Amino acid sequence: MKINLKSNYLLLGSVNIDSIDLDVTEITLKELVRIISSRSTTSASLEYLNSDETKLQPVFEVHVNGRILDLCEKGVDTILTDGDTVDFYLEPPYGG
Amino acid sequence: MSRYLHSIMVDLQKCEGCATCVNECPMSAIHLPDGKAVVMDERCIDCGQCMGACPQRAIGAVTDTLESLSEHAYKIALLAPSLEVLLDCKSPSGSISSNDLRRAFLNLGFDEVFEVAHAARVVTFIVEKHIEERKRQTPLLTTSCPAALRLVQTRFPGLMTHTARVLSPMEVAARLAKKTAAGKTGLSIGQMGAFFISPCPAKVTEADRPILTERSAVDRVIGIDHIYGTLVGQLAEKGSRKKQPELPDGKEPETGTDRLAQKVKGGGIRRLKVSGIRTVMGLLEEMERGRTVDADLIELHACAGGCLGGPLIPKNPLEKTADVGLLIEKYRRRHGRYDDQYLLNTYRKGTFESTALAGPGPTGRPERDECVVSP
Repeated sequence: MKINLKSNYLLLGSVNIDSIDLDVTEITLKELVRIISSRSTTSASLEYLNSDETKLQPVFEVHVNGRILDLCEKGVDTILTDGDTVDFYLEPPYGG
Repeated sequence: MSRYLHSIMVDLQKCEGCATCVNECPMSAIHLPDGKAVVMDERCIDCGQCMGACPQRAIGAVTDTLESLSEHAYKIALLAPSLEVLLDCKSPSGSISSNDLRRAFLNLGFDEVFEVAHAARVVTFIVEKHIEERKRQTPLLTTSCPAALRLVQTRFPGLMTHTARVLSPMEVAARLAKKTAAGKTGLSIGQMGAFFISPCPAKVTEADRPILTERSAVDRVIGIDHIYGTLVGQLAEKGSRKKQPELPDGKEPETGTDRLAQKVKGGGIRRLKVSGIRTVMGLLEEMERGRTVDADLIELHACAGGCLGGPLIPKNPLEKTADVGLLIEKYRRRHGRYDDQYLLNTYRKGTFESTALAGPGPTGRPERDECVVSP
């Protein structure tokens, strides 16, 4: 399946991607960020998930199909299927 | 008297009446009465969506210039956090030091630099106290984005009861910086000039026509795009001598918006970040219809991704940054300028709490001073 991606930073560290092809029919958002993180080349680990992997780190804002992830019922366990779009926004602390 | 009501302006000579801006404007604040775009004052929130949409680059933001520095005996540059991120990303080493940043601004004619991030921490503390002591109706809507705040005021006035009654980080920064500088120099606060270096037009308007205070302590607002090139040139020379980016000695991680759950009488503060004007509007519409949002605090930003996506940011600084992880780590390790006791004392004094009645803004268009328009 193919997940469309959009971000305001380089998702893979040195390059950006606007989609990702996966050999599964569905995947959770949590699993997706683990895959992206594992493929990223940033020197310092850019952790997407908090320590107990129940939420994203506060520097991230994610929309799934235009909907704020934090308002999705299942949060990081939201199921993604073929053609879904995930927007990643990185906002450094105090962003203003 | 206000010099102007809105920062957003249309260059009628460039405008070809294509109406792209009309379709892009989330507030339906643009019309074409005679084939040229005209901004409707009472609807415009200076979000700047029209600026990026215009194919003719006919829509710009009116900001102040460095020439206005001469109006004040002592000039303080208030740095938006997004500016620092922008310059960090542009630096050959991937990071600049506070001293390099300070020197660059001194070379531009400023006497001092104050990082608005420090004021943001003060605001965050006060807001969290309000939540803890249930002083306002939750979820609280933050006030750091004036475009989002003006959106609430204009389009969703019933939700103004949810806004945190605290001055914005920009406003708090101006007051803190002036007070500190006056104490240090012996000059009066009236001799101080606070210049906010801004990523967006909304902050220009906010300084000129504030919502949560009667009069802004910010004297002038200079667009980041006007000084970016000069700053980059100065910092490039410094950055090229560094081999490795320098991280602060982070013995204690910075607290503030990036910290984990804060105790609120047995619970944690539940934060929700919402950015992008249409996403923000969607959420506010749901709240207006009575939907319960499971959050204590909602951080609203008109620009997707926050201020890094601001219309006056030359280009998204993160799009070409290979090591965002290191950058985030730098900001996480930063020491706060004010300790918890200072924050608590500030909160108890109510120094930065808003008492202004946030009603609808004025109509009519007064005379405009000569300013620079960012395309």
